[in-house]
Amino acid sequence: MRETLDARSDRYQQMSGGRLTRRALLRWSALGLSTPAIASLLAACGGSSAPSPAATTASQGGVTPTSAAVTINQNTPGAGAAASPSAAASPQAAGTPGGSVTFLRSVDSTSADPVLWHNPDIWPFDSVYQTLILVGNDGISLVPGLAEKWDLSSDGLTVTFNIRQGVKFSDGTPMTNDDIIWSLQRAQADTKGGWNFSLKQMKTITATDASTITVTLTGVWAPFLSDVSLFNCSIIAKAFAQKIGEANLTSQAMGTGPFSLKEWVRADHVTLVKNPSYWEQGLPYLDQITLKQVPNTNSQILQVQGGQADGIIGQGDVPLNRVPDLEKDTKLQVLKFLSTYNNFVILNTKNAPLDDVKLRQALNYATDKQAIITTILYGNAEVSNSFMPNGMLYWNKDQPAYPFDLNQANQLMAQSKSPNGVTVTFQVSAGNALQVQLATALKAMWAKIKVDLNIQQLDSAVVRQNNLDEKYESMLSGWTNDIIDPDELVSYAILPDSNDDYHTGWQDPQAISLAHQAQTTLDPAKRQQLYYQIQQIHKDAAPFVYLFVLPYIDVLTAKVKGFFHHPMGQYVFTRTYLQS
Amino acid sequence: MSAEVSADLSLAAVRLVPSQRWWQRVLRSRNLIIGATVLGMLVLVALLAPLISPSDPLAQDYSAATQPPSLAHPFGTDEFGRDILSRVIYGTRIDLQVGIISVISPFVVGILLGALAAYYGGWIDTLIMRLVDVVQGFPFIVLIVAIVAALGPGLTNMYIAVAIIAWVVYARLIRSEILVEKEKEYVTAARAVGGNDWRVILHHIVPNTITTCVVFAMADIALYILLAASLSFLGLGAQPPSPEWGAMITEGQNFMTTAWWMSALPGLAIIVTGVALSFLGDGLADILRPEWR
Amino acid sequence: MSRGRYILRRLSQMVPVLFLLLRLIPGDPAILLAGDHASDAAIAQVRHAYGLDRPIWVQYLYFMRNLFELNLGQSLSYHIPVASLIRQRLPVSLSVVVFTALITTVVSLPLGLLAALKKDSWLDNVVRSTLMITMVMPSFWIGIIFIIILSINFGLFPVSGYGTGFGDHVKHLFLPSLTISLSLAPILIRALRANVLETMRADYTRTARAKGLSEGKVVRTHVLRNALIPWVTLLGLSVGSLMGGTVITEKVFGLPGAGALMIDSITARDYPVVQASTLIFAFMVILVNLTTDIIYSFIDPRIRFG
Repeated sequence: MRETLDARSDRYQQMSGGRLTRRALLRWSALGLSTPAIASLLAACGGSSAPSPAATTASQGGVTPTSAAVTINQNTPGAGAAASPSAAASPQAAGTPGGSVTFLRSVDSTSADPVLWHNPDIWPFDSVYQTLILVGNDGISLVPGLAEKWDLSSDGLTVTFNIRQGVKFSDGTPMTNDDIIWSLQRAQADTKGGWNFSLKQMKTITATDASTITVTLTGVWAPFLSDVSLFNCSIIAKAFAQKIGEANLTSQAMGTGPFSLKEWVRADHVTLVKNPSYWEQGLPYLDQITLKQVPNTNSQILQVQGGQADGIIGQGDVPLNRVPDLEKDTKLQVLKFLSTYNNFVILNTKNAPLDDVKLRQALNYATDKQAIITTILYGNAEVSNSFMPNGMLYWNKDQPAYPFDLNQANQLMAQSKSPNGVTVTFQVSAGNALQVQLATALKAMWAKIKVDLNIQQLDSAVVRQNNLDEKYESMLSGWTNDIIDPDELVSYAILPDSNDDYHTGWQDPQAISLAHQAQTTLDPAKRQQLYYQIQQIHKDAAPFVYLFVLPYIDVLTAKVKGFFHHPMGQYVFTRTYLQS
Repeated sequence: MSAEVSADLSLAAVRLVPSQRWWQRVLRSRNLIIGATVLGMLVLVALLAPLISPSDPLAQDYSAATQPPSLAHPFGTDEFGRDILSRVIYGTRIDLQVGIISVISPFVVGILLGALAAYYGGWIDTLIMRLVDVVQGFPFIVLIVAIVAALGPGLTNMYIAVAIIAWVVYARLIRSEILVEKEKEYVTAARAVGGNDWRVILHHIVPNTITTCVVFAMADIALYILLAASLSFLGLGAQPPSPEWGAMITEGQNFMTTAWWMSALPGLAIIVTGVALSFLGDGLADILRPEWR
Repeated sequence: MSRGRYILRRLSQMVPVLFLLLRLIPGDPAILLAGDHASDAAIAQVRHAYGLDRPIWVQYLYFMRNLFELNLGQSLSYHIPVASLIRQRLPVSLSVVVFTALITTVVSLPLGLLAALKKDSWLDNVVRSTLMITMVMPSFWIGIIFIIILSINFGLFPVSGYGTGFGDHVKHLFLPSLTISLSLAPILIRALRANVLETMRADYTRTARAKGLSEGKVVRTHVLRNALIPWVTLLGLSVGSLMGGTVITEKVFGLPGAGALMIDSITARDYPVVQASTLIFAFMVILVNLTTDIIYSFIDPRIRFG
């Protein structure tokens, strides 16, 4: 019997509680459900999968790529029929097997070794490697991957994984516990990639029997299951790695995913081919996917329009100003996918004048986010109300965004330490058109409250260095989730020991204590409250100027179906097929 | 790149010529007249920018974004609704400045060092020429990019980068000319009369040999305007919302198929300026080096 | 081998300068390698893993040792040996240079000659005016316009990339090479014209005419050879100057060349790649210049390579 990942709604268990995207909450509130009711859906796992209240109404309908709506996986055993799997574009239609596609992106990948990945690697190679736990297509749930089931002990210190049996690597060799243990220990020990934080709390990992792996933790750690879904915990074939030498894992791959890496000509293309030993029966549909690097976006669009390529899926490649006319082209489809890509301005609160909270709040009130979205982003974004991206786990959809209110802004300026206006420098990365446009728009907007923005275009490496050294006053920044648990983001934005809160120097003792609590609280409802409080504190202190959340925008030819761009960023090619 | 190449062009055809009356040559040089006129007009545009520009080059107007050229906006508008004609007019100020300022330091430094090397010879010559070799060994644009990346994007840093790198051409140029010149009798005479070395160099030798450098400086002005534009293309040039022509072309790249005027018109401005400078350079060559005609 | 030693000497002068210059550029590669979500501790860890926290002189010693073993190091961003990275990308840039040299020669020889022979005619003026204009066009601007008109509107050439297979490469290289030629050819045409004019006025030419040789013979036997010799030098120097100078064109046309690699590596602070590719380009420049000198010494019997 074919069991797809997405149809696991009756099977998966969630350690840290429910997964409700902002979008889902919006939808459900529209359906008349209140937040507390939704909150009650969050089931704590005390060691077994607790059935959710059947009162949950499933948001029916698969994810339609052009709409912003997303379905929620239901944690209701037995209610599987009512629950609709949050799936790719055509969840129920079985695809036609066979065919090759060529997709375009403007950058090349840098490494095939999961512990070294960055976005240009994660996005394509996530189809080659898999982790024990995967993230559901809604972006806020954990679903079984190479582990079918997992249990957390009642003291929260031991996790037992039931490993899926019969899984093979793409060369046909079977995956064993040995591979799992080796891969995770390797990821934990790595220092070159910067991702080993995800396994910091792993104390020991052992195979208790042929199909079970037990992990003990150094302490109670709520985010652990999310952490282990991070891509650096991908399971690599140990024998393969030892045969070719670990250093060559940067160019060659052997994983359990639906595709395998056939060829990689740097600065030119990456070719993925169907994994004949893939454990999900009947998948994937496509025989081959070629990711070609075409740095120039004009060329990309021309190639897709001319039929030399089947789509543009690179990060941020589709220029927003072209979206309206691309949408009018009947041979193409413009798909917008839920992302966690939050954008905001970070302010250095350590020095004057931005050490003044009133000035920072005034900036927030003086920013017309909707105008930015309409004119610079051509309407392709949502207003952001929090440092957490719209729709992520424990994001507070009810927290009102700062409204555009010049009167309020001017009042705050009058009360601030700079009532007669002030000059603030704003650093942007040289050559980044979007950053330049945003800076220009903000300059015009903030001029109205007598804040003169001095835009400095600097080399991007220098901008990052200045961020690290806190040698800036204001600059653009953002966030995309790597794991569903808020802890990664919160550590970055609230806990100063990681990087001084986005290097803004802002610290709030209460927020810090709440964040620490949330790390060791296993009850999802309690965690939610903690994170809601943190978001309120952050908003009031305004070390950021929240801007917008940008979806992933991909352009495909009309005959490509079933493509899904995951909220975490990776391409899900598993169900992609060509319609004849 | 082309500056170095042009330098060697001069070495390929050099000959002194008996002087005609300079004003005769000026009037007879059509090139000079055309070049000076057009350039003069551009300088006027730059000086009078606030008076002749229809709008504020920085004023945004979202209701009139990406409009094609019309009566209201003869050059159209960009994605922020800014009037492109005004931006091109103000850009004249920036780009003319860029050209002229960029060429001054390399010119002065190069001539001084080259003169020193040629006149004194010996270890000074070796040292300076070694330095020239090292600098010339690097690909020009790569060095510029590296220095600008080090100092931070922006026109000021471009001037610094150019000053550090481009003097070598002038040094080489004037050195080869002086090497020939210093064997002349009048030099020996000047020294015999008791002139100290510096006087001889500055008052006698340099004026006779500087003309080639001047002609090349003209070509370099256009070169540096192009360089600034190229740096803007790479994102390292003028900062927003500055209406520098190269930055405008780069901004308009994404709109090439939908709003061609955003890149095309500033590009034309660069071409017109460059052509004027070419004529001027040719005109100067007509006066100073008629044997090249 | 004195020539070999000469090359080595030139290169070895550049190495410390290059090394130091790169390290002076602000911007820590470890930040870029660790990614945007890395904590300060993770960044420090990455910095240490790559040996970037060692004192500069220690890094320099490691670099020199590797260089002696002809090991160009490992790319920080791509984690593969720099040598293989450059080996993949250098041929692209070189083919652009070669194709550009070809187009430039084919265009400038006849035009320069004709402009000189028919001095001040309408042809001469048209050629010189056109050149004046093309010489001052920003190369990325021309490139974009070529793409719009020739590739998009008329579909004559591919829009970007390098293609596979020789014929495909030629198709992809045509527009980029043409773009560069437009800036290079004017200089060469003017130089050839000036040279031809000068040799036409030379004493030996007058003598040849006085001897009664036909104009055609005069041009062919005396003028051409004497005008071409220094001109070939100029051509060689121009080609040499193209090494590493194809960056902008590579970026506009999306060619995976070594120039684009160099610029990207500067942005990414990938020191090993920048160092190695700069040295290689410098080596090529020196090589081309030397080759030009050698060819020149063969053509011109008066010269002896000293």
